[in-house]
Amino acid sequence: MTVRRPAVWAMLAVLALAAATVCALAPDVPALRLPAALALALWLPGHALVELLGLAGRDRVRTLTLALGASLAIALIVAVELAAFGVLAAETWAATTAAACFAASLAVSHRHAALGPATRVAPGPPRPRHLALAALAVTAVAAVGTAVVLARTPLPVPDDRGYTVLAVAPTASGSGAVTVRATSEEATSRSYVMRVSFGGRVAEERALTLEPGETSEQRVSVPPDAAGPLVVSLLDTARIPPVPYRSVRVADPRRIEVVS
Amino acid sequence: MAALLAVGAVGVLLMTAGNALARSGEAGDDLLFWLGFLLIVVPPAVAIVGPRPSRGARVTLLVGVGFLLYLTKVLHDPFAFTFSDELLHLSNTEQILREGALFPENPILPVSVYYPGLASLTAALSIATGLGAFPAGLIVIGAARTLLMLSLFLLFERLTGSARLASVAGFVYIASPNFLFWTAQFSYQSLALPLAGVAALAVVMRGLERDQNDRQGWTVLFMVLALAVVMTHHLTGYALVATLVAVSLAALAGFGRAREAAWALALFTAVAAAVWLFQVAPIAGDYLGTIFGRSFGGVADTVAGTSEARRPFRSSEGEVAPLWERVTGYVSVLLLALALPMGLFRILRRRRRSAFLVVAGAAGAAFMAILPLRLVPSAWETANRASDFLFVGIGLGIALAALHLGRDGRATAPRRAAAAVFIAVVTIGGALVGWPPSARLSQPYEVRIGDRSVQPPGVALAHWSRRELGPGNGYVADESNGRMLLAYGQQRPFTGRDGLARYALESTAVTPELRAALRENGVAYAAVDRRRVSRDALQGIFFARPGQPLQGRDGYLPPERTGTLDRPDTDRLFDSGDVVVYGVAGLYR
Repeated sequence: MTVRRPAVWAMLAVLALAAATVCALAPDVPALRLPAALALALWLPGHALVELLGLAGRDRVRTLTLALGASLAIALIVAVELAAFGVLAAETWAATTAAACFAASLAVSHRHAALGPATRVAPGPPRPRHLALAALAVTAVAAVGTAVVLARTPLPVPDDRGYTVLAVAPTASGSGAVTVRATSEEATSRSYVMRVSFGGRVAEERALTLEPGETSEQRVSVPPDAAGPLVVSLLDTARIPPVPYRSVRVADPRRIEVVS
Repeated sequence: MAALLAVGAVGVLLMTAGNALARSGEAGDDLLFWLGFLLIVVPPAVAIVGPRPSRGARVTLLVGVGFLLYLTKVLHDPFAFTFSDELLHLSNTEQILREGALFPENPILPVSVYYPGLASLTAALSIATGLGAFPAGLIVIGAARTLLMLSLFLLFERLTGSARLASVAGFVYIASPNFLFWTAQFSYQSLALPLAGVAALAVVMRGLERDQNDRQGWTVLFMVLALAVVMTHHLTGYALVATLVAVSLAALAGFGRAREAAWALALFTAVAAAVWLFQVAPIAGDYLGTIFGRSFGGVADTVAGTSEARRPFRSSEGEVAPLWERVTGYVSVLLLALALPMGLFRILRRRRRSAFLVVAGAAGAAFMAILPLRLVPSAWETANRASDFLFVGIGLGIALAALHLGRDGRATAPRRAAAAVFIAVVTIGGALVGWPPSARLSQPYEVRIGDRSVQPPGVALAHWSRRELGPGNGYVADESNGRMLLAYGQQRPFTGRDGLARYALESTAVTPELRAALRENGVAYAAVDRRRVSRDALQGIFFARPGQPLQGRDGYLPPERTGTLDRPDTDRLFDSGDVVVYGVAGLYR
């Protein structure tokens, strides 16, 4: 295919506007947003700047490198500036980056107009297509794909790596109650006795069985005459006698609050 | 070429399999890991040493290998950022996403928020694509890695006039100690370094141009890139200034061409860096001053014999690397040290060609000169970070030496074998030197317990803190839980062995001074992890590997070290077994 180099500016400008439009107006179409945003961050503004500065030569490697580097720099500077003014958003970043690209493209058009008629770039030699090349590509993709699946597969560890969390937090400010949550990340179902005590005096005991992944939530009311700390313990019934497995404590349960 | 990259892809699979074995506690993990590494690096390296590959094939192989190695880092931890610095920069990014404004709070690495290039770009890409900060960050660093390889190739090619030399030098750069993990992590230097590489290329190209318009074009491009570097990473910006000054001085001294002098560009970058330092990030002066001051002091103490020297291949916990690792590490340095003088001699013979080339040679010599700093505990990190910049000179020097030895152009079998062994030893040696052995292979992050996927207790702690306590609470915590609290819990954690966290977590008594320190810093909560490994930011966030004790590599702290805050005037709010959260506001109210 023959390429007219002066048409580059028009292509860059149109693509930049299209990419910005997609980023701003199609937030629910990730299949479009991803390539559009990547083009704005990694290619378009840098390529426009490189064209504007007359640095895009016949060396495609050089053009690619400069375009990628300049694009990252421009996208970065735009993002920092927008964040500095507190207006970093998909619309503002895409529009500003695209505007920079558009302006550079217009300047390129003037530059090319001044240079006179367009030059034609001869196409490169046709590239051979080999079955072997396709097979190698399939091999590479299959290997990397398998690696991704393998890496993202959670592997089993011994059951004793599981854990149970017991936590306490105020139900609401001044409500005179706390919420106790017990969450199991254990391998199997575990049985406990949940013991609630105030000032060393047991106020409540109840059996609690947690399945893997289950969270038990209990609201513990604090009596107005409660004296001493509130202590909630999970006793492990698998041991005889049951021993404290997890424990939380509130020094003054009538005044518990979140400190921020 | 395609076959070599396909073999490299199989290498990625093998390294991932090695990581999977490591997470399972099975034997053979190391073997698969290094076999995969060699498959990625060695066959393409042997190919590009020969004269046959085209320029395009050389570029493709160099970029391909760089990217495949980046892919192995991604697959090392595919669920989340887990490296210690990654969690800090993730927090900066998330805060920009939440608040839409710069300079959020980061009590663990305060200076990082004042260099917002990486966080802002990642946040912009995240909101524009709809991806989360984690995948957006992976894309940014992946693009940066690609840019690094491309810019290195072009830089080396312009300096030497040879695509063959450039590709060999690029492959030697892969042996840089920080290449496999450090510069592949989600961190500000990983982005700034490639941008600086393109800026350096622009300087070289500007020096080669006679046409004034073209020189102006390169100048403008350099200025855009330099601004981005200055906004992204302090040290890289200063290294760029130093490089420009050195090139200009070399040109002044008669090396290369007079038009290579880049005083104006050096002045522009220096002014930009100074304005940023004094107007935006004055804290960077203290931060870097402390690091360099500690390094110089450490060197003086070690030389004077008042401080013990650091023992290579031995961790601070006393863990000693296996014999083969120590041997390979030392041999790799020896090989570089033996080959470099010949390369430097070749550079001196070409001193008329380019001032930049002379400066690169000096950088290579400087890398060797500062190697002894690795024996000084407080200067080790400085020497390690400097290698990212100085290894450019090693790449050039070694490539010039290698191709001079094979100057008749014949790629005989012995020569190919020698090249293969050399590349294998120096790249593996670099990887061994650059990252702790116990963190080199994957550790269990998201695991299968029973029939479910489970994440470590530190993640549960962070989510609980955000949900139940709300964001922005002052915490003291160990290195690993502190990072989780910052990145995922939106808390304000103080960590560090020398600071408030150590004072609070390692005191054996609650003193009036401790109460005052907690009050002054607004610390309301303390996370106490009884596992010693929790103090290791690279390993503490993970489950213990199967085969290791439940409590991790280093066992538990003694109870008297973890029970100080378990008092009647504190609240005990969270208990996961190993990690307990205390409400400590009662200590100073």
